[in-house]
Amino acid sequence: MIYKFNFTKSAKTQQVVDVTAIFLGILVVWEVLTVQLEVLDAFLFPSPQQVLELFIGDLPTIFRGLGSSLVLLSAAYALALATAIPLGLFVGWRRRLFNAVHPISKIMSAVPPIVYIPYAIAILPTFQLASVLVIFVGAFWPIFVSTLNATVQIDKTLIDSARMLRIKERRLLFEIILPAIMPQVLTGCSVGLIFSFILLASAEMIGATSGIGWYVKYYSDFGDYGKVIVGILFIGLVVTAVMAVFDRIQRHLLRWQAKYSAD
Amino acid sequence: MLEVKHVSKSFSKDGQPQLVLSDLNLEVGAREFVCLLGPSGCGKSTLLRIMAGLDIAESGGVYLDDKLVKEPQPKCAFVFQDYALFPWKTVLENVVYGMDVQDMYDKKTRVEKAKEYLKLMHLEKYENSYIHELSGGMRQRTAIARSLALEPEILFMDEPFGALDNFTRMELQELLLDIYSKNKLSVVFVTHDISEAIYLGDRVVVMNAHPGTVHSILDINKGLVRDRTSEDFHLYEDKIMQAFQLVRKQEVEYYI
Ligand SMILES: Nc1ncnc2c1ncn2[C@@H]1O[C@H](COP(=O)(O)OP(=O)(O)OP(=O)(O)O)[C@@H](O)[C@H]1O
Ligand SMILES: [Mg+2]
Repeated sequence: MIYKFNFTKSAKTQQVVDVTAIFLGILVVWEVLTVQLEVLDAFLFPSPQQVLELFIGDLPTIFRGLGSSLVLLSAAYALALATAIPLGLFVGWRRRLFNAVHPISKIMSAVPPIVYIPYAIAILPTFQLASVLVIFVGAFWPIFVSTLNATVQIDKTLIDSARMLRIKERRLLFEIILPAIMPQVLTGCSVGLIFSFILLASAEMIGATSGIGWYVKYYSDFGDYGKVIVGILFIGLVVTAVMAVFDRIQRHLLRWQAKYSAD
Repeated sequence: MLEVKHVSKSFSKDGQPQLVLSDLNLEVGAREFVCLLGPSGCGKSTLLRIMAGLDIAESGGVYLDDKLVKEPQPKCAFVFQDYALFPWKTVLENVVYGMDVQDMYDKKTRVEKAKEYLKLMHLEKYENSYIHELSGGMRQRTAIARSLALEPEILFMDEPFGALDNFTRMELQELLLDIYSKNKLSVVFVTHDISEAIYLGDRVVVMNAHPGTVHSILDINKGLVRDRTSEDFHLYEDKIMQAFQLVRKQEVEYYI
């Protein structure tokens, strides 16, 4: 026990050291290439120090952008969760409905949602609505399809054991099937979340007047590549932070599984 | 009383219908312990599922107190061979949940009752464990506690001790007999272990295979078989062995 604890701790420390080393290495190479040797074009490749200064100077704008981006993203993602999971459960549970819907969902989910963006902007009154729709579509399919397939493939004895209790269909769906397929549902949710970010950034680069995607696009048009790098790095940080939160939630929801029970 | 009347059932195998149960008749009285004994594949599980209302007979039917069984009935519980516990719930939550679905008692009493049953099964230390943390025997004890908590009048058990080692199996057999003698319930117990059937059952139903029918029914004098090494125990064993030899003979004829 003690041995294991020490081992995992030192492995963690080792990892932190390694990651920091790689990060510093990149910074040094960047610094050397841009400032020391000046082999890279200063207009296209600003130095680390310049980027940091721009980042700090632009913090208020960036955070306001982040705010408007996250509102779009969370509205669309919440809508996808609230529709895809119950629908996936319901359709997966009804054999006939599943047989009818499955081929259609296969075709629909195969369309890369990015192609909807111009059309959504054209048919909807505001850009916000259009991007919510597109992000929603992007998140919906992976969540729906994973819920659907997991429901169809669920272990039948679990169902039998619930049926012996003379359980109502609603409780069966949400208290037995949903927790049983939660691992697969969460995999779909994490794919859906990543798609949401991709679509958010794409939509903003096409039609927005604020937001982090817009920030990158706007300064690229002006050739202000320092700010472009600021925007890219910032998006990376935000996505990482959101995925870390997602990971915590997943660990909590799946705490009953052997692989998550250690913590 | 639970009556199986002229039950037949077939499954399709490679596109061909294959008769699994053929015109099978059986009765289980109140407070009776009946063991269904037969070789693997003879249709024991299929019969048990039909008796419990989890499957429907193709012809004939199962009657509980003269009413046709079309779905799982109240006051019936089923212990599955592979436990079928809810892994996302703790041991205690697994036991409480069934009572909750069936609207038994208030919340506080449910937890108290569940703890009593877990204690009976020597699981009080594991109330808050998740299923993956338990051994096979502990899982099966949880499944039994969960079923008993429903206060069933009929308990269906499908090879509940099949996957357990000899020590755990004997311990659970004792526990089950103890519970059976103290509660007003009937047990329908599927097994392919001859001595288990004799040791537990008031009656042993010996089944044929291809298609499944009742070969013979053996009444066990429970007073005589408390000792597994006794003369009488072996007498019963011999009787059943003979029955199975008959089964084999019939099969040979059938294939010729
Ligand atoms: N859902 C099903 N679909 C198709 N065939 C089935 C199905 N369930 C059972 N069978 C077939 O019916 C026959 C009897 O199966 P059953 O599970 O009732 O046997 P069993 O006596 O319980 O055997 P065991 O002791 O191995 O559990 C087998 O030949 C099996 O292949
Ligand atoms: Mg079986």
